[in-house]
Amino acid sequence: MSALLEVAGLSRRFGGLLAVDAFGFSITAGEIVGLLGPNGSGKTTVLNLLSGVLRPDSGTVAFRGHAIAGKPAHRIARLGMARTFQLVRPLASLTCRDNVLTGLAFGRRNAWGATARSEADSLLDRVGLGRAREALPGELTYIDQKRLELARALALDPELLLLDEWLAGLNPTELEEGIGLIRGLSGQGITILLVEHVMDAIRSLCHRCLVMNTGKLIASGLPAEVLADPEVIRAYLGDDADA
Amino acid sequence: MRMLGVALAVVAIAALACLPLVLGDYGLSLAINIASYTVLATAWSLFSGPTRYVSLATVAFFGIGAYTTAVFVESQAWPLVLLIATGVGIVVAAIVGLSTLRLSGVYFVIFSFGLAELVRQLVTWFEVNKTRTLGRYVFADITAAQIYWQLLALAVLVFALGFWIGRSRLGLALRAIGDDETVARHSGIDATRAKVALFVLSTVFMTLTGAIMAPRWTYIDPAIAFNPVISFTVLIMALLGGVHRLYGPVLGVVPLALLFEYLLARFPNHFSIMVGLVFIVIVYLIPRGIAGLVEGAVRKPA
Repeated sequence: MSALLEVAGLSRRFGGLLAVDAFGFSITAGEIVGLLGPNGSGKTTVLNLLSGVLRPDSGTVAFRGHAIAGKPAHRIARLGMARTFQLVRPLASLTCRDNVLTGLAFGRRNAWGATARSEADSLLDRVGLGRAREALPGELTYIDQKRLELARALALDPELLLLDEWLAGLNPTELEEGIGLIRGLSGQGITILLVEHVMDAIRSLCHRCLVMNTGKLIASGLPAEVLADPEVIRAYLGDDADA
Repeated sequence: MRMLGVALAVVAIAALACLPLVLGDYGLSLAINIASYTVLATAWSLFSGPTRYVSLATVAFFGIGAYTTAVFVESQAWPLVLLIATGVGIVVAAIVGLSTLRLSGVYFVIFSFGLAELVRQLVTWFEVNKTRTLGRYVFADITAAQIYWQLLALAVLVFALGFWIGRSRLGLALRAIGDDETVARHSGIDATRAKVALFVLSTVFMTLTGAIMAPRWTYIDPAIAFNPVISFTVLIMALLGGVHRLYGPVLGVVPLALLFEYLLARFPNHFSIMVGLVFIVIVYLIPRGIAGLVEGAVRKPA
């Protein structure tokens, strides 16, 4: 079975800082893959390179067989890659329903009119925002804004969903609910790449983890294995010699 | 409800169309002034409202329209003159749009202002060096009432277009871009194409307004046709009325056109400084425009 996403030699430099350094990995359809690493290790930059916020300096990205490295974000979105942002970015002047409609109208669904509106409403129901269809994002709590952002991403009918710390800042009950939601999406055939610091979520959700440090891949494998890897522990906690 | 709205619009347009029959010369010239600024300010808001790109290029397109008329009015039939103006406007707008709408915020404002000056200088250079005359006479067999009716038709068209955009995918795309362009792109919106399309649509109306207005002057030169005050006036009017609603700009055009008329008659030497003060007052006191005030007042009791 060929990979849904195949990344090789991905690099991006910001001035003197090599934020992502010859990074490579692949994801098979149906997987939930965790992307871990200490702060500043380049995780969000990798997502930005994949989704088209940034252009890579070098390297290739193949998504569903299309070469997408350096392609504009709207093309990548229409191929079926959706994402959420680390700090929520709802479209502030649009109602929740219209936020979701953007993905339906301009993504692969290409839906408009009454059909699109009812699809938007059912996506809002699915993430637990059915009561807030006409609300503006500013009226929602932080958690509900995260739900909204997820619904907007799902409106693209994605095959691959990139979640950038989507579970961060949730209380234990919400976290459990969030984990259930992600597992449900995976059950419906959506492949997921998640950047996450919440270890409980990583252990219970991820089939496989990639660990980054200073822009490079330092470990990959089962969650329990990589979290026990001495080099991973060193990356997070520092060398014995430093202590 | 929908039928009622259409019926009201038809009655309003018919009433406005009868104005030249009851107004005197002075009244008609005021009506022409208001009609032309209504088209300009509404067209300006079509683009600048949702995208939040503040354009000072209004007069670049207005002037191009006026010059197209000046050049072709004696050799071509009038509808053809308007058609040529439309074509020239579209070409210039597409070139400008494609090359500048990747700029953001303040860079675009400065560029748009520079564009108007650039076009003015180019026309001046061409007239001085090639045709060897700086001004042109515009002799057209067109009455003031006919100019008014054409502007009214243009106003109806710009409102119809705005109404359609508000309900179309393009409208949703533009509101999303105005909120957060990166997010909009990640929802599959081709932001550059949407912005260029709207910029072209918006500026065509400005070009046509200039083309229709040119015979009013009988004589134009680059300083008249590309007067930057026109760009600023349109901006003030649109901001006063409110750019978030289609009907907003006209609420700013009518009071300001009347006020400017009064100021120009009473304080001809201090006109510019008065306009500047009006601008400051509007931006500080009513940032969401009259349309925003009206909606705020309507919403509060609920």
